Amino acid sequence: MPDRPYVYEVEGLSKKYKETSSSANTDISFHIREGEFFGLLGSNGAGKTTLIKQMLGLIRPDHGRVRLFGKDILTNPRFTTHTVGYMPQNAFALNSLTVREAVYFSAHLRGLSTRAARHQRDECLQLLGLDHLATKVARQLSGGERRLLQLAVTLTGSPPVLVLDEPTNELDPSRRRQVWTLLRQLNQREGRTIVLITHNAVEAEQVIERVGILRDGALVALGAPAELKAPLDSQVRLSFTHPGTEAPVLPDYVRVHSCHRGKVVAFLSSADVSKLAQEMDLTCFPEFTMNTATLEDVYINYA
Amino acid sequence: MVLTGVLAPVVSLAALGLFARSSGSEASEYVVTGSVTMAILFETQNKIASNFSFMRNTGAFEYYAAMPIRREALILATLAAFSLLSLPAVTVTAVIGSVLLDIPLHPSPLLPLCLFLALLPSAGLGALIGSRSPSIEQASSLSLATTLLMMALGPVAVPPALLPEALVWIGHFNPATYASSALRASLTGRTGGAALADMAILATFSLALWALTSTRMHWRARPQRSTAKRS
Repeated sequence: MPDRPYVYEVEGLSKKYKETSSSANTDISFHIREGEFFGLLGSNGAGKTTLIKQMLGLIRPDHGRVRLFGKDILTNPRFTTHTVGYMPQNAFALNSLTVREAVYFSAHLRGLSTRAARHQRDECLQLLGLDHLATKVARQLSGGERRLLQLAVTLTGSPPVLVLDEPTNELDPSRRRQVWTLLRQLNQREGRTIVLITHNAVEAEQVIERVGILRDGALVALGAPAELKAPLDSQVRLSFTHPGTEAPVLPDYVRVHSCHRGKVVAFLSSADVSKLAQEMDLTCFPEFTMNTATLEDVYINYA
Repeated sequence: MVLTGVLAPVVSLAALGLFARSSGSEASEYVVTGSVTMAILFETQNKIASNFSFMRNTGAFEYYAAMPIRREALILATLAAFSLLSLPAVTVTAVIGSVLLDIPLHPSPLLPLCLFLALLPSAGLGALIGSRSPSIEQASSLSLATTLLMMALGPVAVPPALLPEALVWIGHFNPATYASSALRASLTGRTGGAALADMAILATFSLALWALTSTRMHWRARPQRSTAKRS
């Protein structure tokens, strides 16, 4: 991996919107190498979408610069749009077209000939299991189906870099699995560089090679999931359901992280696990689980 | 589609036609071509404004901006689509006006070019309003207000002799005045130097609005001057 060229070089990126007083992005720097599967995590409003829009040249940063394969994206917009396939978070732009028309139209916009666009349309629809919806108008699709269509549209033209803003949003578990599998294949078999924003840290952990965590517009953590989890390895995550609105009384060495709608998440040192097991019968709590740190814990820890 | 674009011009035809009949055939010609201009404004400017505003608010601009296409191509494609869609309303209004007010139509060979040039400034204005308005409601209201003002300010549907001098003077800055005048000439087959001058002015308005729209429309970020020099 270290020998591969940089796809993205993000240097000192800062952005402040006129409408709000807070910074959307503050002095963000990181690099993404060719063929890497890079994830961006962060709570709502952390500045993830602003960051990737700057990486696409859709928003101009106040400070800093973004290079794509060594070229400044603002001075090379044609190169950027040819190289990067972008799946936005917001509503689908081609709602009045049928599924097959939307994919074909997008392939055409990406410069494919009529024949090649038709071929890629059929390939993408099959790949995402949308063949049976081919003649349905996009606005009549369910939220999940439309999300898959957006992904199909993004894949047209086979751009070497994919930037995906919450690609598994609104998808049911089996469709989510299908998308993660597809993305892994695109990354490993075709060598595509993938940058994605997700809130689904647990599922993303299976495919992401490196992750950046944003908080209040700043990049607070960057590294491989294993590296980021290392400081939390001495911690154990405890979760269970507790009837009642308030967290149950737990020993001092157990740190309750959240208690929402009866779902309690707490952390304790792995050295204290046996002590807790002696003091309390945790199995009496419904849905009791205990596990070592996940990427989600890292995310919770930083966010 | 035809119905909505025809309704306002035909109502205008009927209302103004009542007065125009007693003022002579020239006034009737103004009413017919003014109503055709109104059909263009309703069908092209208002619909393009709504469409661009819709694209801006639904993120469609982002979809197109992230594709390897130029913003000018998107503007042209939208203008072409809505201009074509306005043709039925334009034709129906012209024919109804001709029958109602007894104005014989003798379309000149310059009519297609004249129609094209009459459509362009209103389409450009619609694109500008739509791409800059923060909401679809605002874009529609602003475009409608502009349409009404363009119809009222100048000899568009009423001969200059029947208008206050101030309105005639303001009309020199209104593209609808030239669109109506050029259409009047090419629909009645009287294309001469004046009609060509009108068309030249319409072309100038079109170029100015094109330049304004293509630079002011939200699209990809542009490099700052200092960044551009550095690269």
